[in-house]
Amino acid sequence: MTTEVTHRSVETNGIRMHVAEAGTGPLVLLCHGFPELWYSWRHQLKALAEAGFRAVAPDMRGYGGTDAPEAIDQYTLFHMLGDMVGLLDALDAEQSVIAGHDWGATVAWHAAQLRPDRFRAVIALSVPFRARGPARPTTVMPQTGDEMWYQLYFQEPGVAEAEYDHNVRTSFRIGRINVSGDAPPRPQPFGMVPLLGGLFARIPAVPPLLPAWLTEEVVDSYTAEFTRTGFRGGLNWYRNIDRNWELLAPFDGLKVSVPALYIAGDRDPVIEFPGMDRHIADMPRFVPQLRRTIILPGCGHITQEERAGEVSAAMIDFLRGLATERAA
Amino acid sequence: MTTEVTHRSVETNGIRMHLAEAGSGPLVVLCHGFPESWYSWRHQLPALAEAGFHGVAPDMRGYGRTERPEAIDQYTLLHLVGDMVGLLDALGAEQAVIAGHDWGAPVAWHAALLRPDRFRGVIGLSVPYRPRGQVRPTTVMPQTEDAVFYQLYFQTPGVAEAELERDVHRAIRAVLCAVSGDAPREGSVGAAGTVGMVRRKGGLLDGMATSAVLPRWLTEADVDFYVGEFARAGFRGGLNWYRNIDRNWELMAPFSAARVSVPALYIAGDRDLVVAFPGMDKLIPNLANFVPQLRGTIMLPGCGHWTQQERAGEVNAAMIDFLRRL
Repeated sequence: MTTEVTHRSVETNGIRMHVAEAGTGPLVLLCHGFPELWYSWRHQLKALAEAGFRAVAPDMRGYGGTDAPEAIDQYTLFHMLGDMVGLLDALDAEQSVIAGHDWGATVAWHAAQLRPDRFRAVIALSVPFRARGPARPTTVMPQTGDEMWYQLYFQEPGVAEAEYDHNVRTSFRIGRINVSGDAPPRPQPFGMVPLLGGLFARIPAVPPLLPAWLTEEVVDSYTAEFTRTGFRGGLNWYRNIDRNWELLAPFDGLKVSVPALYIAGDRDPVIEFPGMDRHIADMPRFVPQLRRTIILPGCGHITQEERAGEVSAAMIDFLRGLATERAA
Repeated sequence: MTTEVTHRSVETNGIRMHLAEAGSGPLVVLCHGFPESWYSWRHQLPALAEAGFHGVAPDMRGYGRTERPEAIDQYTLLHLVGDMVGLLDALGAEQAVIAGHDWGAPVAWHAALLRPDRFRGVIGLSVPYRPRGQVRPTTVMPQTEDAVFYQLYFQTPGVAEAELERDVHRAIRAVLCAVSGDAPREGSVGAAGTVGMVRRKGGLLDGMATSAVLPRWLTEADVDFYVGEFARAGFRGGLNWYRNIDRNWELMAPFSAARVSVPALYIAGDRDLVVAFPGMDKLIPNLANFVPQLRGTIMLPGCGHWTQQERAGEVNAAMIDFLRRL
């Protein structure tokens, strides 16, 4: 018998949100990143259900079967957090654990930071908790005359959309391998986009072989959905980085007070981003209930797909530990 | 001997902020409303100082000698609460009690809601804590064929600025007098059924009687102080707060149904037009549902909108009593 993943839409924070869900028991929300879908959590939905949890993975705002508002300012972190609080309300749940990967990790960390009464624990994959810095983020992102940090490259509406739309399959076939633990040696520094040629300038002419965690079927699924929706919704998240920094001013210095788990691959380019080593080292100070930091050897950025079994096991172990703590 | 009020500027949340302060002891931050100034707390600063507290009254973002960013979206509630958190940091204070009047009250309530670790108590004057509603606020503000709620009148950039800046002295005098507890109600901005309504073919000041005699709590020198501030800084900064009402509603979605968890005090006049706004009759008696540590609701008989100026002595006593019990 396999655990069935079911689908439905709910109303949250003024949008229709598509969710995939499995299992019954304590609720665990699963927030995907860029450019991803509920589908990025397909392995965890089943594993969590079988372990006695109710797992719910939405298509986040701007993605897949969820609404994608037109205006860029509808994609602030506060809109995302509002979506997650509204999702709990729609699911009639007082509390949940919230997990996130990539951009979804940022949502999960801040959900736990701002609403510890609703989000009783947090699991983050790839992206650590980052305390708000003193400077407007885009002003300190690297750029040279020839290259630009990808998050800066994403700022101008329409530019990255056009490149992604012409390379949808490449994004999910080669693009995902390139940020995984199975990537060929990367150009240094990773994350810089050549202004001449753009996002796909450095894609190898001969596609690499598919690693075990990525099948043609998976590539097809992502490709079909993003061919239908485009990338604008997800890119709009990046276009609020400075606005998020402004809006988070009231929360300067506020700690994440709930139990937390952080998992990343040692070949994840995110952990080599400028300043990330400091954020990871500082985490126990800002996340005093950080239970564990798990660094997976050989794993890249696509944490929960590259190492589905290990990630699911670590999540379940953490979740069961919470139950034990509460019973104690 | 009188307690001296001193002035300085600090850097907070990316802007220079002017503040007036007095005393030493536990910090009490005093947030003024529209269209006002640190000066609206002139009676509280010495009283708090003499009672053993450090009273700090800033010119809020957009006002007086504090910076006023150009863009409207720089005036969200999160910017304003960010200013107050940064103010504590600039003062080297781990915690404060925060008090607010009029628009300063939502700042104070939300500071307490969002950062109970920094704001250990909250005092709201005139405006109670309002839990986030189901709908975008401007869509449910009263409007008729002939008139709109003043907050709608304030939405279009430039319109209210032009009206209020045409004759700053007349505007300040009219606003301060019209919603004071001593003002006649008939035919005024506070009249039953027309509370806060502005005629479409007119302006905010049209319904406001211009009395030659000032109410007892207000002197010509007081009027002159406000006039000087607004003649120099204009009204745009303060009006921009209203232009973020819908944006604030969006941004506060993560906090829907959240409660203000720290000890709180609410004070208003029974002749304050704010307590006659739609929905307030249901909210004020039930405030403890949303503010479970509400220590008291004080309704001052005969007092209008300018709570801490109209009834300086009673407001001071109530604040100090609340502060001492914390």
